[in-house]
Amino acid sequence: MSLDFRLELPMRSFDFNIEGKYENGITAVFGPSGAGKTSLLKMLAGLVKPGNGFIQLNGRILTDSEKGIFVPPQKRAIGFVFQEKLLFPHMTVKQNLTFGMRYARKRCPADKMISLSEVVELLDLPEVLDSKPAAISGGEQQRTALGRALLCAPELILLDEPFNAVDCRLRDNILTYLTKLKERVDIPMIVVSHDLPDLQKLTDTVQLIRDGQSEGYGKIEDYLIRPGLFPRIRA
Amino acid sequence: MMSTVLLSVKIGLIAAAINIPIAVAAEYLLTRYAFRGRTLIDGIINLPLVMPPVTTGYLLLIILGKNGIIGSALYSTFGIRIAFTGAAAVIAAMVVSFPLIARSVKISLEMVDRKLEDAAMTMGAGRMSVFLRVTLPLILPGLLNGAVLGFARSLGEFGATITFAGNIDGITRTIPLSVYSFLQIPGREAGAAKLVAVSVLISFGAIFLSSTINSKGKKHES
Repeated sequence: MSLDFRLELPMRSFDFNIEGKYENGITAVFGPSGAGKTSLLKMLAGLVKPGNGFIQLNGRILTDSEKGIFVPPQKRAIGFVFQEKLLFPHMTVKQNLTFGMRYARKRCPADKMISLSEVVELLDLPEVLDSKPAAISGGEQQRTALGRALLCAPELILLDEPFNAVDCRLRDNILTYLTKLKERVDIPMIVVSHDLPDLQKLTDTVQLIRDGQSEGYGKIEDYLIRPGLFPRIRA
Repeated sequence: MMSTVLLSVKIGLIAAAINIPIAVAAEYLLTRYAFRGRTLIDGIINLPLVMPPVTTGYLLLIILGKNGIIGSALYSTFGIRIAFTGAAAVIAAMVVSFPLIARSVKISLEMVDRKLEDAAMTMGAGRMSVFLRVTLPLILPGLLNGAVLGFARSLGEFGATITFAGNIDGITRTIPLSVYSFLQIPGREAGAAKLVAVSVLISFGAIFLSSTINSKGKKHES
């Protein structure tokens, strides 16, 4: 995977201005609440139009404001796991999981797509397939949201604060599944969080963001030894 | 009496059937897109709720009557006459019941989390698919509820119908107009009473149906 972007967007409290070049694997985006992390994901997914910017994913231009190019979210092949999970309440877990498959099949050969049974097994969801989202636990909801994104044959998956507003047990549960996913499925991910220890368990590559500006990109250990950087980022 | 009831039900059903797609399209545009004149359109939609029905009927006559703004053109070009026909009774019912359906659809649309639509789009669904697979099923209870209330309102419509469609037996004489006609003739109160009883029964049935749809809608999500 190669993701290349430069995004500018005037916001209420600051001007968002971040550029980056991410490679395969998991990239963590770390910064305090309100730093612009979710805005970055939404711009990458096409849910928010940048004031000015450029996004290229695997050689395909998704946004180029100078040339007037803006590929809509449904044509980006970028999966998005929202912080609020956002499962469709009128559908069963199975219907939620298979929602995007019919669109994915149009652009991706079946043998290259991960199968429903594989996702159900990987994320431990066989018991709840016929249940409605309101009837399953928070962890199962999170895994359904993740599985749903996986089944859309994405070239990249964006996870917005997957550890936010969950208790320790659920947090460990999500980490376990994300680690399992990293080992079994070769889909690059960008994980946004304001919790560094959890991010460290998943990856060693981090993008630091504060007030809509990049504070650095590289190995977490390299930044850890830089005195005063993380307290500043956390503030 | 039966023919009057059937005529009223027929007019109410046709009016609701035509109003539903228009109300959904109008409210979808009003709630999902920002554009100039949105408040004005919203005001026009809701106007029949606060206007006396007779004035609504009079306005319809000015617009669609044989000598009206649009009605005269329709008559001179195609020979189509709308006022004082069955179509006029349907239009009168549509206009007075439209705000009830539209308001119900609007509330339902506003209650749908827009992020659910965003989520569907990131999974590859285009706008129409998102509407048909996510938005519409979620607003369905509200839509049906509005349609039932709109239908009941059409059944009770009097002022706009008598002004714009007249009181023609078998064509535009709905339940309320028939009750009014009975009361104009001494000794025909029994006929009026029977229609009033039917009217009460239908209205009660509509309210019962509306509550059932509401509770089924809530169950559907759990």
